[in-house]
Amino acid sequence: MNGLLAWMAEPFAYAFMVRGLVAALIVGVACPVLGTYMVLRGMAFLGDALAHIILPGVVIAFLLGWPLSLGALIVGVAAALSIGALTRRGAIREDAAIGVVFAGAFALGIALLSAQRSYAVDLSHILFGNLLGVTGGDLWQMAGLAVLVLLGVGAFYKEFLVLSFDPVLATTLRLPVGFLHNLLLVLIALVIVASIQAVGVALVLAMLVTPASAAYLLTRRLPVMMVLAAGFGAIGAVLGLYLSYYWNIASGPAIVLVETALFLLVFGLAPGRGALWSWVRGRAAAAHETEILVYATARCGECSRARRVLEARQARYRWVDIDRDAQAAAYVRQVNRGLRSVPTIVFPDGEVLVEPTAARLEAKLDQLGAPPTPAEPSGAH
Amino acid sequence: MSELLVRPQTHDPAAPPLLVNRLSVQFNGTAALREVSFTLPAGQRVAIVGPNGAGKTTLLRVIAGAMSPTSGSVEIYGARPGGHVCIAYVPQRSQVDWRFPVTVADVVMMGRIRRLGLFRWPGRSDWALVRQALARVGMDDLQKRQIGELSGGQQQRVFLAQALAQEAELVLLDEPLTGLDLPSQEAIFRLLDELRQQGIPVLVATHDLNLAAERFDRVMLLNRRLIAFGSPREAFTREHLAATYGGHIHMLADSGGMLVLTDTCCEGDEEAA
Repeated sequence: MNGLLAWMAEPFAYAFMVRGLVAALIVGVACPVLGTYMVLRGMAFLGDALAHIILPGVVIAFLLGWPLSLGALIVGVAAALSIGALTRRGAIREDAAIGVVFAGAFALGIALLSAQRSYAVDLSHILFGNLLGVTGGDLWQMAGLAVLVLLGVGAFYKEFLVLSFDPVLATTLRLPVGFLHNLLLVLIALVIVASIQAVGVALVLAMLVTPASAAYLLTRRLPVMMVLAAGFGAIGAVLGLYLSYYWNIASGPAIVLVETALFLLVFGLAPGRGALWSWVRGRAAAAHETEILVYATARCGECSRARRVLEARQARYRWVDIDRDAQAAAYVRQVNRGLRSVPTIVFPDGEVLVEPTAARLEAKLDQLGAPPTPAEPSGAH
Repeated sequence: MSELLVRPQTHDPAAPPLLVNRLSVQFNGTAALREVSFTLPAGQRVAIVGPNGAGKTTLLRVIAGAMSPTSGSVEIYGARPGGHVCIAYVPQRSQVDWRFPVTVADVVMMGRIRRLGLFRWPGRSDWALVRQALARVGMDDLQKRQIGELSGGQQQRVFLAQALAQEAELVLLDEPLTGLDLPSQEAIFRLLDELRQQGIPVLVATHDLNLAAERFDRVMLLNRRLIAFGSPREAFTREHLAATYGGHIHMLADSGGMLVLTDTCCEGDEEAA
């Protein structure tokens, strides 16, 4: 026991490790909370782009002796506005516009850096972070930015929620949609600046989306998702530092690796949604399911036609009305890539036929050995 | 920042709930709507029918102020839609992310957000209003459910409850009846009857011509331009239907009236495909 405690305490005998831990925790908690909205809005690529885009801002601020966050903020806002301007008239698609601005700004940042003397060292710090080089002053700045970001999320929680859920609803409720979108981008830029020292611009995306994605697999409540995401971020920070200390791995990548492992664990094991769960359920279903499942709706001619074929062949089937069974409806959508195609017919051997012709259905019943005439002895026999 | 300070538009009691004047919308040079004009009196329930791509969703979105017209104007209680917080627009069910981590009560509360204003959290009276709205659609026992765990009819009723919580004075519904069983449709019509008693006009895009003829005060036949707008008897003539649906319609006349069959269905599903 004492050995374990000693093992756990040893890294933090060093002041730089303690500062690193505090920094990692600040970033590890602040990033996933904001990242929750990014995951829900499908903004992962934009987040990654923003992280790279602010590089020239950071470099210029560094050269001029300004606060790094100020330079990053100016460039971040300018980039968001220019992406908007490039797509406004439908000239190019948004992802292409982001790509153009992203690569151009990143190249400018690298170019500015490469003109400096200690180019190689500084570049790797900016790209991958330098957690163990965090100073007391850095910590205060990171904490200030994190508090600002969390306050922003708290103040605009319900507006960001509506914007993420349905932008058209946000518009008809007359929420300031453009302002809220830009505010979210500014908050992302701020949290990225806070994270540069810890994990660098190349890996900050993982801090934003990986814990939030793991949390998404575990809950269907937004506040719970935020808390879980922050928890995963904190665990990633602590375990990542141990990994870094004992295995001598760079701290930023170590934290990201732990977060990725946590995500994979959740992906595999999440109750109801994880890969393992689906597999077990599939096996259980295969073992018990000897009847044919017909997912249908009440008013669907093709469904009635399929029913007539099944009746004529005396097949054992179960009729599931997807208008009355949300889980069944969700299953049908999953099978048909979002469409409620009926009838969707699932056979005991696992094969699924969607809106089959009568001939196709007959052929499948032949294959399953369904008798053309009653096979079991009945009273009339 | 100025857009944060816009106050909700006041209503001119003398003006009609909805006045659409020579409305046109173009997407990349092709016309989605052409010179559509009509006036909607208080308390009327209107069905908008037309084939896929007729511009039904576009019309509803322009009226809701979620889309700008290329030319022409929309006035709601005497003013442009942009200033109103009284318009509820319920999208097609296929447009909603049902996996989103929100509960039934959360979605209904969204209707109150603008009335709450910035920096204020919902209070006890707001949650009471949300419960009331859910009770009116018969879903008060399901308020803690995640929205994906509901049937199609229940999902539609959640958004109607949201419109109630919003205290909407003009309700726009996009294909609310598609894919619902009869009891769910009846539940929705009961609520629409209540709205009519309150004098709140409702516009409903639908594919179901029979429901449009039987359950609505007025019918609008739309195929990029307004082909007819009037009582079902006035609107559903052979000429109007042929002009709206072209070759995609079969009409069988008998002594009791006319049976109409269209081969368009389920717009949302096709869009998703």
